[in-house]
Amino acid sequence: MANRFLCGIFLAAGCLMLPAAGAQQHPASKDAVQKPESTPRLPDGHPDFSGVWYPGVIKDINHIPPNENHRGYDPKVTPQEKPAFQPWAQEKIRLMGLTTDNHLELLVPNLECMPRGALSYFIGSGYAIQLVQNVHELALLTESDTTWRYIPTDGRGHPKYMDPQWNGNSVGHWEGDTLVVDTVSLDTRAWIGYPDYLGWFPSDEVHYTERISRPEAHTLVYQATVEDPKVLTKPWTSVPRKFTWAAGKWINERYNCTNMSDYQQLSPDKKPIDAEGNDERFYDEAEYERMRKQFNK
Amino acid sequence: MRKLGGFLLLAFSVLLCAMPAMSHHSFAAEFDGHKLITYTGILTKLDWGNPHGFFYLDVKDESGNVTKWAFEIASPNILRRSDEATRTYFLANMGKPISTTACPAKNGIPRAATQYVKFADGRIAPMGPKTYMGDLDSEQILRNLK
Repeated sequence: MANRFLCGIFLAAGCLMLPAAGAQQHPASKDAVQKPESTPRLPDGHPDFSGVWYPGVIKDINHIPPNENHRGYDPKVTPQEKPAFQPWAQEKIRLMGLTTDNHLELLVPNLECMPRGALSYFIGSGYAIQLVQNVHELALLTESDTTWRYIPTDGRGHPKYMDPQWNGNSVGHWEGDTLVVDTVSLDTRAWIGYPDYLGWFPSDEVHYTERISRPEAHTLVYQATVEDPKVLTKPWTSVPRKFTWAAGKWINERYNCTNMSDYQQLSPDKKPIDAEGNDERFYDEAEYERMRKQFNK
Repeated sequence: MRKLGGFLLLAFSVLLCAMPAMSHHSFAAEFDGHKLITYTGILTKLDWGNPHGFFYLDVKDESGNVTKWAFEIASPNILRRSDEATRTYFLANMGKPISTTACPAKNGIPRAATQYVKFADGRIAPMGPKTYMGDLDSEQILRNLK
């Protein structure tokens, strides 16, 4: 049974990887500015989004210093609208601690390393994503939480019975060269966040519509609309955000938040880690040497 | 809870003005973005983890007393995009003196948020988001160090 299950996984992974392998054959250019190339296509003619993508417009994918910020959009050209909250939601936000600029990021669940939620891999994170696609489905792998999103594009609808999930339940369909993804059944702890506005809480009726396109080989464009009849007075739409194709690159695990020294430092009820970075729950070489001498007699 | 909320809120309102988007959480709650201090010490440990990496130096003061300092850097995934060999540089410098420009913790504990690092062979590289808000040139300070 286990073997059959594993075989299924490998087969599925193999099907997903085939178009990805084709996409990766494009040479990784080291030019300062990438020249536009035509969009790779799937056998059925739809755009192929497969590849590793870095958020923002990146001139040199081989060198992105940590002290530089690469925006996916220019707020002067396309300013980001703010969410329109219902009065009760506005009051809840005020009670939680509202600043003059309507910012509500005091207790972002991700501060405790909870997953950031389905939208955040595109609009709330500086981490790389990898898209793996064939004519039937699209899979998103992400460094941000070391999780995944699975989006069938074979015409199926949402299942009849759904449980809330951090990334919800997604189905996709094509409108021309744009993949439109419908996402429901979201865990209400998955705040909606984006870099200029670190987040707000959704209700159990929140509904995302996401639009993904690849106008040319090196550029992915993503836009999301959030409808939430219990929290918002009208849908909120993100401005289109750009990603840069990181041809030939790998994404890495983020082994989510095993190193939360800051959080422990900021939370008096958590056990602090000492100045040497030691946490008593885990193996430490110096401690081993010290205790070995004391106890291994 | 409300008290904590207010605390974090204040922290974030400062954070939003100054921080690149990829920071995981509150820099301003923990570190002083208006202070930049240069530390030199022996590299004793690298903690290559998310959401932030840390390295540790034995820093000797003028009277010869050694203090163990922890320095927060960006996440490994972010640092790899700058230079895939970043971890290797740290490992090659274990037991050697390195220098760093960093914003110290507000509460006085031996902990700081690194801006740039200068390794024993003279290599200088940014290792954290740009969180220092003052006028000093973090990179140039390390270049001028002998």
